[in-house]
Amino acid sequence: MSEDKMQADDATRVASVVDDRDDEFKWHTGKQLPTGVQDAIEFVDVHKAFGRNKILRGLNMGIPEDKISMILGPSGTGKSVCIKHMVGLLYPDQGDIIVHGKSVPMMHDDELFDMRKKFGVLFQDGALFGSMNLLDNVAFPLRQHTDKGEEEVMEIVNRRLAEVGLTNAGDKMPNELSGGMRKRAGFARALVLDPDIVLFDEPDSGLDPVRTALLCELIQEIHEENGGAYVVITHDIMSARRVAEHISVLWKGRIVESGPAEQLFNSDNAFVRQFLAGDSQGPLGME
Amino acid sequence: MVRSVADRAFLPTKNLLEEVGDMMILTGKTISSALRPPYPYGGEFVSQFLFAIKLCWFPLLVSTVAFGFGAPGLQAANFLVIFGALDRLGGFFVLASIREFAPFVTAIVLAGVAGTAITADLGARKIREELDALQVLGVDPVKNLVVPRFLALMLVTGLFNIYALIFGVFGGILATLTNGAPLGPFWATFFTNASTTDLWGSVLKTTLFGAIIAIVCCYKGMTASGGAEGVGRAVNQAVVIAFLGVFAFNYVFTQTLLATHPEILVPR
Amino acid sequence: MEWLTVPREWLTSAGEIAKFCGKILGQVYSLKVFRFFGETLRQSGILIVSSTIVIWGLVFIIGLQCGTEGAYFSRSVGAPSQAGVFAAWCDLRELVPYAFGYMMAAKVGTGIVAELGSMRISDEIDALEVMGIDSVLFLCATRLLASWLVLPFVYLAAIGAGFFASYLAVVQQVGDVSSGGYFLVFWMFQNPPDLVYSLIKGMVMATVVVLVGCYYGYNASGGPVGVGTATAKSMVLNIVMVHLIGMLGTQVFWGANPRAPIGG
Repeated sequence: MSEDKMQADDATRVASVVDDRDDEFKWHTGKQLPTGVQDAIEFVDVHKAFGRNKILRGLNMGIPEDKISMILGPSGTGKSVCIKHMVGLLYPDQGDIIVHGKSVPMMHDDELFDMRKKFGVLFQDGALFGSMNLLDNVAFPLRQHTDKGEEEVMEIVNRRLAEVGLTNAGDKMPNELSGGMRKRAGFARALVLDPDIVLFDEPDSGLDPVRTALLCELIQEIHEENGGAYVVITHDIMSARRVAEHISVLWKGRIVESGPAEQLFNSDNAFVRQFLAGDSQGPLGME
Repeated sequence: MVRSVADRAFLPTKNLLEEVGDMMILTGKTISSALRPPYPYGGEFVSQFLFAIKLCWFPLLVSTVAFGFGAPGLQAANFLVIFGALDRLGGFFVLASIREFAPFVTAIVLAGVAGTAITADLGARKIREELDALQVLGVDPVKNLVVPRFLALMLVTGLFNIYALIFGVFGGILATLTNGAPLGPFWATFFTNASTTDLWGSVLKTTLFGAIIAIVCCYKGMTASGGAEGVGRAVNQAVVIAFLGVFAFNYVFTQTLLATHPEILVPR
Repeated sequence: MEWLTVPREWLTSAGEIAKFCGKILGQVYSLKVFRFFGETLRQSGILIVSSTIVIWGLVFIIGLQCGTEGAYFSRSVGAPSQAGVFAAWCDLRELVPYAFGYMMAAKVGTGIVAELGSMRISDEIDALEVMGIDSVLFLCATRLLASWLVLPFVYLAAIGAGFFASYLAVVQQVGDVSSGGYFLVFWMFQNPPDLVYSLIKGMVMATVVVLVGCYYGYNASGGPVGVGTATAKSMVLNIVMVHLIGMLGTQVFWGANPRAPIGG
């Protein structure tokens, strides 16, 4: 290939990149369909970058109270980063996150630790402490934050373990459990302080379809019993269809569209339609 | 009960012996595949050699000067000032630096810096299944990964010993100057006491240290287990075993050298 | 200014390490750490069970070495009965602290990096945080306090192991000097302040090793591979620090004053 031609090629490539940048947010209508309830968590124009890598780019999102909300989006669009912002593990470069009317980035440490007690978080692989058995893992938040006696603690722990179907596994160590069991145990630990908000970081990652369905059912059951705002992060459409009451579609660090689940599944936005149908044809490519 | 107590005491011992055995087998395999043709490991050898030098030169510089100035320098000078024999410090540095401290600090730095890097690197390849992929492609990981590291680390450790020796003696010079003494007698006793036996003993010793470090670190890297803690734990164990191995070997080697070459002990 | 980037990176990370260590030291100093005294005791237990034997083992080997070299060197300067001086100084002032520092870095320091690093990448540290627990306090401050509770005793016992090994080498193996003669000189050339200085040296090394380990482990990233790299990096810093502390300690404690019972 001659030098001239190479330069010409480079030029067209640059041009196409510039074009893309102009169009980048053309599917992002940012429409927030009304849900009829108050928001438990609000993101207001949040920007976050790691080095040169911009993850969140002006995210505006609301998570409604007392519903199971899902944040859906292709991999690498900043879903887990969202969760970390909600509990103050990461701070936004710009913008604000409001939980029950209070701004998270403005809190000082003691307030933050207090606020976090309202949260239960289920991490991707459960994040159980490797040095403790299941009972101690689930009892850990109770022992640290409440003055309950040992008997009462054990009663609560056993009840929570029974709820997630791990009645007889209390004295096992985390590395003796399968991935699904670790997740359920992490779920029990997240619930043990009766949190108002429960966050799930990809509850379906690494599970087979049947186990995923069972876990989704479990989430629904426990939500019916306890209430509270549940936030599930996933890219799995099957579980979204099963449990979601509210859906926010996230792409390139912004909301494409959000609203009650039924309405989103019938959306006329091309990106939302493609993603929720799992179609290979549409705005989302391999890139 | 008795059974479980016995298990607790013997299982770790048994595992340790098995591991030592495995390392011996790896040593044998490494040497035999280094000698048998073909010899595809030239490029890797050079890159590992440069890699080790790049990693180690600065920590080794700081360590040897600090060690030479503090331990044999200041303390031995204090000792000799009592007897009014500070000129003997040079002679002491032959014993201290050439025979003991230069090899010893070189081994510590090489194990801690280059050895850990090797374990981390091979451990990463192991858990990314690169080692399995190599074997599937018909490439022998011992010949292509372990042999060049083994040879490179032996050569580097031997060469770095001389480097460490120079900077260790530099620490001694600093100590002499701190005591306000002239350097002439230092060099005089240094060169009258220095013998070629000391030097080749020192270089041979460190070369073998390099071999021990390379085998231990390669073995631990290649057997790293999966899971979050796997590679970190492998590095941890590798450096502990390498230290113990090097020091145990050092003791045996010094004893043997002193016993077989008594003339290096004669004061001059 | 490309050639300035490497030193600048070093300065940045040195600043970060200092800030992190300051936080841990502050938490121990303000006694906040006693909120997790149970965890502290557990860490102490782990330290005793898993690390003491190897530390003593290495010190013992080095004590043998000190004794052998001391015996031959004293013979070469024509004062074989003075081997005790060499052994006393070599063991107590220099090589026991060094051996202790090396093994602390190898066994305890890298162990902490591996452990905390794996907790970091499997989200356990984030889990602690969202449960409303200060993870630096719970993980790092408790480890530092545990090492301060346990290691002085481990260190004193290590000195004992070194002394015993030197005695074996000088008196039983080389045998230029009788047991009584050896001990006379050996004990004459050290006194309690020397022991305290040596202990201070060892404890400063241990503190630095634990803090460096906590820093690299707590801030690990990039999966199991990242944990391995962090472990290797922590070892580099620890080795340099151990040597620098050893030298500074010698300079400060014995540089101007040899603290010998004879001579000027």
